[in-house]
Amino acid sequence: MSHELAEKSIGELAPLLKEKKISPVEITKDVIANIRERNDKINAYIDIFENQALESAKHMEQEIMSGHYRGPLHGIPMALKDIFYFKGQRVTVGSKIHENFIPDEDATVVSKLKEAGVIFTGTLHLHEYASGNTSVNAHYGVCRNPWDLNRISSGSSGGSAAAVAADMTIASLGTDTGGSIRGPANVCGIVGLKPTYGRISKYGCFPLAWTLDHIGPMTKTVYDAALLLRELAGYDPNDPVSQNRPVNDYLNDLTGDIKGMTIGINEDYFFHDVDSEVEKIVMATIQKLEDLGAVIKRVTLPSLKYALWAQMITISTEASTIHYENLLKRPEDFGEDTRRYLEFGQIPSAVDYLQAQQIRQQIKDELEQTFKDIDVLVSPTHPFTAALIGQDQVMLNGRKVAMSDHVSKFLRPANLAGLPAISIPCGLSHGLPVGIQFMSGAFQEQKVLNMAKAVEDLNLLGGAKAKGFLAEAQS
Amino acid sequence: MMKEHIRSILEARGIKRSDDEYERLAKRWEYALSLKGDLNGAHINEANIVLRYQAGGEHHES
Repeated sequence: MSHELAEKSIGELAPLLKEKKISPVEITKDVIANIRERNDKINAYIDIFENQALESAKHMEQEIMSGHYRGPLHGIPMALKDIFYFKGQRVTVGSKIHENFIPDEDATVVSKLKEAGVIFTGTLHLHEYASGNTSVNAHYGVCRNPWDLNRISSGSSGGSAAAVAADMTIASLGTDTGGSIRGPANVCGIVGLKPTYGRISKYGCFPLAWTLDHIGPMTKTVYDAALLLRELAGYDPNDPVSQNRPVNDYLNDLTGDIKGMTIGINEDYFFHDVDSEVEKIVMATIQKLEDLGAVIKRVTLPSLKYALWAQMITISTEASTIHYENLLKRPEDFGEDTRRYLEFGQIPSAVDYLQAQQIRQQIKDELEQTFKDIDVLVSPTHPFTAALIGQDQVMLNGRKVAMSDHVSKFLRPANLAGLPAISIPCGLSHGLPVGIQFMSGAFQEQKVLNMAKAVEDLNLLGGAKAKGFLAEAQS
Repeated sequence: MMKEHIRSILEARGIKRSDDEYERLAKRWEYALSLKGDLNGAHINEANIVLRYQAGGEHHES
């Protein structure tokens, strides 16, 4: 069945709501209808707030009808990754240990969305404690890819990406510690933005690794990503790493005009070990951007040689510190993969951790220097398309590689350096989405958004949408 | 032997697991070390021991 309002973006719905041509109740009913129809197959939701959402929608409808329009998020149904604190409502973080955890306050992002008039339809699936990139969860099952139910939605924000792609929410938020927004966005064919570290407050978001965690929008369009960034960015005294800098109106700068912008290409790291079909699609997109007036420049970034090591040490040790007590007291309550991941984080020494931080600084310095000469750095988002559920190894140009180690390779430098990066679909390979990533200098979100807008305007998917959920999964 | 090394680290921190688990962790740690290499060419600034994560500058409050 078609539930047309659920297919629309915030940018399409907001003017209709403002002009009272549609009601928040109609949109919410369409979204809930899709959840009912599709969640059994996709498993994107952990909790569904059907009655609560409809009540909230009626309240928002009354407000708008009586002339109290709050702004472009007023009356928009959304569901978020189940990692953000909602006062009085359980937040599982995808775990058994936190299955009955009920926070006594809202996360800052939740509080901002509530004030903006968002209607919450539920909480979304994630890899346990956001600690992996498959969204295969020992406690809440597998979140399947709406393009092909036999494939992963990637992780850790797999539920957010799958729900947006399958029109089970209008937009969502994810967290990104080593690519967990951009990766799932990539395999589910949506837009995923990781802003600069400190741009969006992390207060009330359960941490995976303090120095690498970011929050960002996962949306149907670049416009929606820019809009959510504008609404959520800003200083928060509750978050010790929040940065006190002015927030741009990212929508005003969103022209898609990239004439004269310089795109950096680093082939040694960002185009090494890429599936040939994926590389072809990404290179063709870059050629189209050059045709639009962008300037291509080759750059070298030698320190990236150590990026995977620095990321591996930093993320695992910080995560293991957070969960140490439960690792001792109730190890059996973690999924096996998560427990092993956390145990691994006990192995590195203080010297290893500090060397990893020195490497991070080196990478950050090198990137900051590079961004004096270029506007954005480009790469494929993932080196290959979505893996099958349970697939530990993938064939990469005739060679077997470990899926989890390779899949996020191009995403990690932006976490290590805290720089903004976006993933946007730029084509299909064998019916599966391929994404292109743009990274830029600190607080240069408008550059990656504008470059992504240029890609979006090229309409490289020709309007193709996820329809895999119409079939049955084979596994 | 790497497995014994890993066992001694984890047991010292109160984590006791099966032989297979230590073996698996040892392999993972060897993979991590292979990514690190010897850090030759990393040009690490030895004077820099400050942990700074803020992209684009330091934290300001006002």
